[in-house]
Amino acid sequence: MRLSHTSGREKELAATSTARPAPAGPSDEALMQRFHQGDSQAFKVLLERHRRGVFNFLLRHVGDSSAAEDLLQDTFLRVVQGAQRYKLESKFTTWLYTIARNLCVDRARKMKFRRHRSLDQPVGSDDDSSLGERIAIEGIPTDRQAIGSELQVKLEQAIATLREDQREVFVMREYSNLPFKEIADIIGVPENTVKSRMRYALEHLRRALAEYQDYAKALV
Amino acid sequence: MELDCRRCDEGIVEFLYGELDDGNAAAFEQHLRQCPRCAAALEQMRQTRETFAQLVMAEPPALRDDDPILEAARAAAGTMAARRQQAAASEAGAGSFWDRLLGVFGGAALRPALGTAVVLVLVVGIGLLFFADRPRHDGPAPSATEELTPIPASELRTQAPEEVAPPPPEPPAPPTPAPVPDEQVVAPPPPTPEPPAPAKVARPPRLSRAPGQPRERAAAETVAREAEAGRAAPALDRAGETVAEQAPPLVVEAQRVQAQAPAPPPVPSTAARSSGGGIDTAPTAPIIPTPPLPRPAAQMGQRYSLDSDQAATPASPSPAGAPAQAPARVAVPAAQSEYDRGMQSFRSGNYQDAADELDMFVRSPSSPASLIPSGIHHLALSQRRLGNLSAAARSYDRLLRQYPSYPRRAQALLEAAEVQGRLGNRAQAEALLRQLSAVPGWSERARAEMARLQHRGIGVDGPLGPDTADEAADEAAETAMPAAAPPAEAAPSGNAY
Repeated sequence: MRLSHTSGREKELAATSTARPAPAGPSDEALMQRFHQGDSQAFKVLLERHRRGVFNFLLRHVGDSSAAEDLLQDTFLRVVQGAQRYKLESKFTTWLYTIARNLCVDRARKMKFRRHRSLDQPVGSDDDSSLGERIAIEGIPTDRQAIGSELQVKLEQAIATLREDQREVFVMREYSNLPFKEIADIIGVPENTVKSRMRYALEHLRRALAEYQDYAKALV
Repeated sequence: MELDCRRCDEGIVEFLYGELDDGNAAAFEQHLRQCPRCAAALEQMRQTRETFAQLVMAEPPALRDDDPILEAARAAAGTMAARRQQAAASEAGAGSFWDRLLGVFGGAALRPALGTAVVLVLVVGIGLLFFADRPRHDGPAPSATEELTPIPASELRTQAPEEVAPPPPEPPAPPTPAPVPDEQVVAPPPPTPEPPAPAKVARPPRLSRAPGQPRERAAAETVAREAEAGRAAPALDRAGETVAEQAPPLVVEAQRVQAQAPAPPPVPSTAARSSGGGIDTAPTAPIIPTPPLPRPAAQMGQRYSLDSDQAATPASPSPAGAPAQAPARVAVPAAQSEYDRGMQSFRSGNYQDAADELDMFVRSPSSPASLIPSGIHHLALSQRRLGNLSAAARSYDRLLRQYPSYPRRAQALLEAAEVQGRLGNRAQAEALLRQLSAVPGWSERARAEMARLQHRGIGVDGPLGPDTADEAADEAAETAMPAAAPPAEAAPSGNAY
């Protein structure tokens, strides 16, 4: 039946993530415990597991890949520096993304201009592409650029037009695969607020991409 | 369970992401079979998800073996492993005094900057110890043990009367450590400086030092620990800018209070606080986090008589050598014990436990009134550091409304304004900062924070306004402070919350 199938598809879609597949092997907390005991290789596993998700979270916060790289390094350095005080009973990803988010907020305050600068603005005189296009193009495998670059750009631009609080919830849920409760802990708002922001984000993105729905389906 | 469209609308996102339990999911499915409107809404969201699932994630730079993060991780792993070995050896009492001493400095000596100093100290110490008039033991020498591990008062009382000395007075509190933002787990505060050894217990003479050498082994150890703990960690942070600048006056105040406080009797220090007045001027003022003693928390708990039954029965008779005026061991009220535990957790950086314990404390009708403002303040700080900004905002609001004479009101105003700013409640943040600017000596800080607030775009100035009026109303309901604050009481009971 369709609705049962829908429910099954929901679970399937929820179980998969474009950025953060279910980790194979020891849990994040187990790896941190091993790091506590002096196993630096355990930290490397953690780093490789979460770099991509955190990088994309940072990228969509600051809108600049070089800044996101710097913040990525700062984030994990703070994890290393604070590892001894990390409470193993706490969720590692909550701690990790809280660090990353706070670094974004601190950076935005220091930059003294709006963090939600439009990604449609040209980034420089010698580069006519917008930030949204740059973000979309930089990470795309070469063989897909010719096919779906326009869609990628539009997806990035649509995400960039989200309100900041909605965008961070959407990115964390959709691409870092963090559950709503954990996102609420990271952001410091009630869980219902997180779900509301997610709903509004999806509605906004749907309207923004209404003209590309069929185009996207054709690529699948 | 029957669902209507409103409830379905509220839970549709959870259903979409598979976060509903089986029972609720089944109810949703049943409703969706019967309601084409809700089914269509779900389908639209699902298609949107599928579309955006095609977004190719950007790749961070490739990770190299010589990446600074991995280098830092290797160094930290080595340090943590060494510390664990040292802690295990100390607790097990394994090895001779010399083994432990070398183990303590083994880690520090790895650093070139401290290696020479540590070696010189060891050489001088070994030489002087040959002339020390102290008994030899098979196990670790007690005086050396004291220096490395202060003996809690409870253990001192169990010794023979002629060997017992008054417990050492609480050491002067160190300066407030670097600020602890929400996520940061800062370096452990520096260890307590060596307490003065009990007079009746022999101790080796102080080590002579070469010019430029650390005054004491503890100082060298302190420097080593600070360096290891990453005091050179970069980055200012928001919490730091609001808290760190206040460290000096609070330190001065705490040290002044500390100096004026009478020598504590051999009872848990919480007994002294229980008789305090309306102003929180306890010797171990919560303002200055006291470095944790190297004893497990359980033993600390016993010392503070967390169990009222335990407290009512002294563990041992009062020592003959104790001051005559020292009162008998008194029972500590359970509520006050919650305060102590909460403050201990706070000082240890365990903000979740601190928040739980302090929340219980401020809700308890038997809580000492003099401690409630401090309890609320530290509850707010714990909530803030946990990222629970809404709860922190409520705590600050209660503190500021119900305790206008709170000594650290100005600091609380600043922190509350920062929290409101992060919640996106700019108007309330500005109102708090205007109050702060009226406090003598705080106008400059208030102006600086106001300027930061004006440049901040957190959740207030987005690229688009609310898409719908409903969205704006939902957001306002979730994040705004209550329109009608609880009525202020002339004499806060500390119970309403």
